[in-house]
Amino acid sequence: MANTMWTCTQVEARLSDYLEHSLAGDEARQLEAHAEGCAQCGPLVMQVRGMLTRMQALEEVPAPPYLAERIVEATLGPRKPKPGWRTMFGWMRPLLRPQFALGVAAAAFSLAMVAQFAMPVRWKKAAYNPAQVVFGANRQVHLVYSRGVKYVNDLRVVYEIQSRLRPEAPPEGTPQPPVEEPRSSSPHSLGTQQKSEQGGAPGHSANPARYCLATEFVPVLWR
Amino acid sequence: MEPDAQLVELCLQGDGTAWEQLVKRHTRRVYGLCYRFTGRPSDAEDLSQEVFLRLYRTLGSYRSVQGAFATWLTRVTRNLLVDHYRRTRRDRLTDSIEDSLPYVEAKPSGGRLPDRQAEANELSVQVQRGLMNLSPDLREAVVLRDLQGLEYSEIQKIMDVPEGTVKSRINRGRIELARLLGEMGVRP
Repeated sequence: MANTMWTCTQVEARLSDYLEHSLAGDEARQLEAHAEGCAQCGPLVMQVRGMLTRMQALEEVPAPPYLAERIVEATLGPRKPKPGWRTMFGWMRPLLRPQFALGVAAAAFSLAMVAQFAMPVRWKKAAYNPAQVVFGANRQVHLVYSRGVKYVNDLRVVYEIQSRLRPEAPPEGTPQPPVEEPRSSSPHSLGTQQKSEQGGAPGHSANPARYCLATEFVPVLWR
Repeated sequence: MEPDAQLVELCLQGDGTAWEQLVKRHTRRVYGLCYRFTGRPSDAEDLSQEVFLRLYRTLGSYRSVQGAFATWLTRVTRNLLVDHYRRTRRDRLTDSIEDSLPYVEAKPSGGRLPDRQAEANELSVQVQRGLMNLSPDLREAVVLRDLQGLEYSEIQKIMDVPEGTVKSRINRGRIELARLLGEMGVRP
């Protein structure tokens, strides 16, 4: 220690007073004189001074933004929203979202389509007459029945055509019978038949009777 | 009458808005004190809430003639922190190191350059580490004086000790903290 007037202990004890400029002039000079010549106190004074300068410049730690609200709710309880047009129409806010608007539009379109096909007839007052209701119900029942009958008949025809067009598969191992050539007196028709067998589609060219069957039953299908 | 005292009057008359204003005005101060004392954001949040709950119950005992509301609030906070420290002394001995890692201020303040902000954040973390190694008496003295910027007379009221003791604790706390920061490599 270079200075015999102040000890290191004294310097440490008065350091804050010195740094806060509350030491008398001669005391401050004695402290400085000691610190200049002391390997321990000199750096210590610098370190504490620098630390204080930087600490005092530090900003206060920010509180989480939700904390004040949480405290208010913990003390006063959940708060009621303030009256105003925002709260009056606040319940509509979710309805203004684009997803909801698109959903509503799609649902309205679907309902319109269903209504178009399900209720083509507009209801009138006369439609509520019991005689009209019975007549209408009777008519609907008969219509449904006749449509069902027609559907079954059509199915029957279709199955018959399919069964006739489908070639019967011979049992395995048996020799294939030769295909009987249709007899025709006209060379022109023979030539056409040969041509169709050579280059036409296999399903249509095997048997000309199939043409007849198909043309016979097509109007039945379209009935 | 100071604005806080007026708000307290309104609160005592049942004005919820005044209470809300009072909470918003002082949340940061209370949270900062709690955080600097405990070193943990979650504890600081819980303690801040506890402080205001206690304040809400004892608001009628505040007398503006005895001093500023902020000083009274800091005293309430400090007393609660001391209680908390005593209550959790045993728990702290078994705490993991990760739990006590200092909180880094993530949100940059306006007007500061990013480098300066990063430097300030780093210093804040180092100061917090140093503070956590101080004894509670020295820590609270340094926090109140150098981080909260209170006067000696206010700290004396808050800590309820003679002014000489306050000065002594602040001085010793500063020297110890400076040594700790020096050991951490913080240059003056």
